Amino acid sequence: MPFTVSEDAYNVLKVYLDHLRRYYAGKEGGAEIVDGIEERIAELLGERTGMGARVVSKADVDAVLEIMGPPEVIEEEGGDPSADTFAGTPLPKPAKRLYRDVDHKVIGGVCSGLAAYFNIEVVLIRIIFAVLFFVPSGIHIFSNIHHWGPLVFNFSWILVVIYVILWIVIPPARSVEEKYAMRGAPLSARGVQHAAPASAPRYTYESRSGYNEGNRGWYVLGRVFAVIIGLFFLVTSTAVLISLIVAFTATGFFLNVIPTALPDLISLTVNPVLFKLFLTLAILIPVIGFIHLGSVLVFNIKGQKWIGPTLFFIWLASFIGLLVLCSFNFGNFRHDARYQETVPLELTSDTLYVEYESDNDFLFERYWLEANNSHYNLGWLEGKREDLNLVFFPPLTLIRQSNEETPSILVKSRSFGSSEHRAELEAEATKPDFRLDGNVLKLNAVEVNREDPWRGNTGSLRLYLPSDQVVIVRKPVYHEFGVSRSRKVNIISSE
Amino acid sequence: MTENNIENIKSQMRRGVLEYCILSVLDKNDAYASELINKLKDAHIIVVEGTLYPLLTRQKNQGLLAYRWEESTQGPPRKYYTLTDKGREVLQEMDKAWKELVETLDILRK
Repeated sequence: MPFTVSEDAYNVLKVYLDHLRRYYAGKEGGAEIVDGIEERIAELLGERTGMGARVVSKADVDAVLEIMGPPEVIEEEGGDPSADTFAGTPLPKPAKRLYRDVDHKVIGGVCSGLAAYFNIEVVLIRIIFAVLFFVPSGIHIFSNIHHWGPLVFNFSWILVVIYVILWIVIPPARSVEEKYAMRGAPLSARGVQHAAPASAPRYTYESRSGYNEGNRGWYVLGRVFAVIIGLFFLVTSTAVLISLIVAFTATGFFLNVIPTALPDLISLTVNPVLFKLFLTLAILIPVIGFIHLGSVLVFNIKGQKWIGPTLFFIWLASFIGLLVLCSFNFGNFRHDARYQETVPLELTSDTLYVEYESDNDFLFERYWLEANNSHYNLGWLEGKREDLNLVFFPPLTLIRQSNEETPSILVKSRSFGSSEHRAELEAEATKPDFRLDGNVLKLNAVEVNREDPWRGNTGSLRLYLPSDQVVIVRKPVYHEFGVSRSRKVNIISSE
Repeated sequence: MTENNIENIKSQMRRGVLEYCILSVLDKNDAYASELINKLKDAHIIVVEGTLYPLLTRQKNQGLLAYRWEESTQGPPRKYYTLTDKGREVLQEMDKAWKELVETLDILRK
């Protein structure tokens, strides 16, 4: 006798009958009992709906099940009559067992299952988990107790591992009995209705429903395949995740918000915090996505529909943010300009002295020098390991020319800018600084540190002088061009 | 004695005589399950219908009842329950036991 049953009504009915069928499975005459009940339900539904003339609503099913009575009352009736006593014991409660509450899950239903088992609010358990997961990292970041680092850092991961183990070990509450055993609450018709899941197709209910097992083999094959692929995703992406975290924490990527290795390397002029955030998300989200996909495949959980798109949009946003940040930065390199200026030198004597001047004292123990007949290149290191300064001078090149030509000095520098004009200005601003004082050419040092890593390193000087002009670097390391021997010194000892 | 316990004893008593009631109804006329249910409900011996089916099956397995399929003018064929000879014997036993119980109570109440 076919009925057209509304979706929610079908769910209630199915749960009710499945429950009875499961209870009576394997018991003597069990199928007959359930068939009888099913027939009676069909009969009552027929009466209510004019022999299936209209769709069976949930109200119809509710009313009919009210007449039939709660499953556990029926089951009690079928029990062994010799066990019946007049003792005033209430309905036996099903034994409480720990299940994962997959109907109210966020990840695997572990928290909701624990909450059901201990009869406390799920939110409480989730907060405890979140606190245990995040607080150690928080302590790590906002305090200076770095020697706790490895312990605290591992603690969050131990928690994750515990969660995954619980996920695997605790069975999911799928059937009605399991859902009630999870809460330790007795079954009732009303309760059964509450426990019914809310997704099933519109169904033509028949008094006897057939069960098609034809596709079983294909299903198992598909599952095996899915588990293999999922395991692959899980293992690889977890490995990538762990190595990324180790790599990032090792370089202090997350902890030091002030410039660190990476932004320094590419000399970012953008907000380093935003840059790090976007970079982290852009790298981590695909990894997390694969872990999610892997767990969906392996554990055969029904993936939350919002996870995929959400991850994708966050990733897309970070990627675009990264592009925007970088394009801001690349903008500064769009144009490059050279600055070049020839300054005539009025020589007052046949000897030209060159003096290198700096606010910092020359360090004999940490300097380098390259000096030969036409070049002089000098610099040294200032400061300790944590904040090193580089003090150096624009490389000096000596070019001999005939006596007829005017002695001159060629000042060169090069720079980038977001526009042609800015590049030119920048190039001029970074030109080497010098002045001629009688027969002494004084050159100023360039100082480079972490905050300002590229200053002045494109500048250079060329001296065009007659061939008989004596040129002597007087300070800080003596060198007479063409007379002193060629030298290459490199003493950069640390500390 | 709590409310709960009273309810419990009442339901236990009802349950104790329910099988006797089923046999008594079927002693007069054979009946469909639905007719049987309606009679029992009219007599206030059952509250929810579902409980009847395990009892019918048990009694059938004990050989007290039998059923035959009868075509219905509307819907699928239905079970038509009838009392077996063994069922009739058991019913007589139960009648006797019931009378004894009533007598016992009468004696006790005097």
